[in-house]
Amino acid sequence: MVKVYFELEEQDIISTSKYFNNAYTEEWLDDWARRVIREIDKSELVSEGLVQSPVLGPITIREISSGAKALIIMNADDSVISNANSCGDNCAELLAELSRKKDFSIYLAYPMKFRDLQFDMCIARDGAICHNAKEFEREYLLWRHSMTF
Amino acid sequence: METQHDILVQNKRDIQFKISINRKITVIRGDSATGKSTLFQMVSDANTSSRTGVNIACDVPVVALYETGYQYELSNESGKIYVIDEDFSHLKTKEFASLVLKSDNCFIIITRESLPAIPYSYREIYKIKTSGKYHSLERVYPDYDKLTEKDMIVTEDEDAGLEYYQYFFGDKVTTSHGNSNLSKYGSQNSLLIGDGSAIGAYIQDMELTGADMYLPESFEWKLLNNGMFKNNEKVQELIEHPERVVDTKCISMEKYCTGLLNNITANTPAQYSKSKLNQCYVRQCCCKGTKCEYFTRDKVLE
Repeated sequence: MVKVYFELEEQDIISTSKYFNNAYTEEWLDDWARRVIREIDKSELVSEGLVQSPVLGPITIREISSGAKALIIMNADDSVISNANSCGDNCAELLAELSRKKDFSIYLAYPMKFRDLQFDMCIARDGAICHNAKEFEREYLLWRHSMTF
Repeated sequence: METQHDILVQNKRDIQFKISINRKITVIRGDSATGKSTLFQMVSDANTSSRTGVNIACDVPVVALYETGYQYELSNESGKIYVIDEDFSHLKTKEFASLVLKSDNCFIIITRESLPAIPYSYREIYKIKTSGKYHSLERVYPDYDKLTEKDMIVTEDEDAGLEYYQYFFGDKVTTSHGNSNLSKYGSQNSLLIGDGSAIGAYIQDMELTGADMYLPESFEWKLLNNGMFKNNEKVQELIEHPERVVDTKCISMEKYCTGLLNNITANTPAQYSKSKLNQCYVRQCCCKGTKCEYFTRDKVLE
């Protein structure tokens, strides 16, 4: 199940790209990472640290998209709350799938479009459980409406 | 500083970004792996020394903004376009917003989060469209410019703005008392009316509600569209090309339009007041017995 934080203290928010570049290990670059890089970046993880991109050519693992990095962190590193604001709507499917497989936490402060995906989600601020886009969007709006701008 | 600029960022490996900006604030969001970070990295590389393999073509400097020293940069520099990556941790702070608003620069901000302290237009929220190595911007939201009657109509405006819509739609029109509250009234049966030029931070919330939206630049901009100003060249230029008229020193389109409306109607029967709607803007004729020099229709006395 994924625990979703709509808000976090500044010191708890990780910079996805910088964190990944300075924290990833060989163990992180497993089958999940391979799949994330293939499905999100349309690229192939050739070997540790080397990725073949159809647009950029051969690039280092440090140059994959922030969305891909965030999804890899979610699977590989339980010591931080992954920053899912780095993930676009095209990351929703993998995020939903991961939520059905393991427990992890994310910071998500925008209404990601989950469309008809099913997922296991707990909203940190009120403990609400969401399994579909409608339930998530309701929780997101409740949070937004509770804010004073 | 003018806010309309064409930018071409390309490197020696033929990665190319063609970007046109129209306002002080441009926001880029959208799917992952479309090139947002690559754009920032290329701009960043181009700034580091003279021969980097990255070329930026624009009529003003295009530079990356970093966390270190950004306060000094924004307080002292002018005439630049700053590109800001989503990792910029001060994006949502009041200090950053205050510096941006005072700054005589343009900003391209890469973020999916909303920035409530900065007024930006929903029309200037883009995603990156990719075709191989070529990248351009595509608007995320369509024009919300159709005023359709619904069971419930809610405007962010109070006083004159509220009175205006109530004149046409009666008691079904209420106010949300500001743009941040609009989405609270959103449903399939409601129409939400807001200032399009400053609604960017709330457009995602409003869209989620399923409500219809009517988002002119601002209420005063809508009044300036009134036929009585059709002979005023400055007004017509504003309506046709707002980006050419409003520069970076202007805090918001609403303030610009309010100032313009106040100036051109001062001491005339159509004198604008935010607190009370002047009937000139809703009635078919001037009924005050005084000829209105702006009125282009035939005068008909009741």
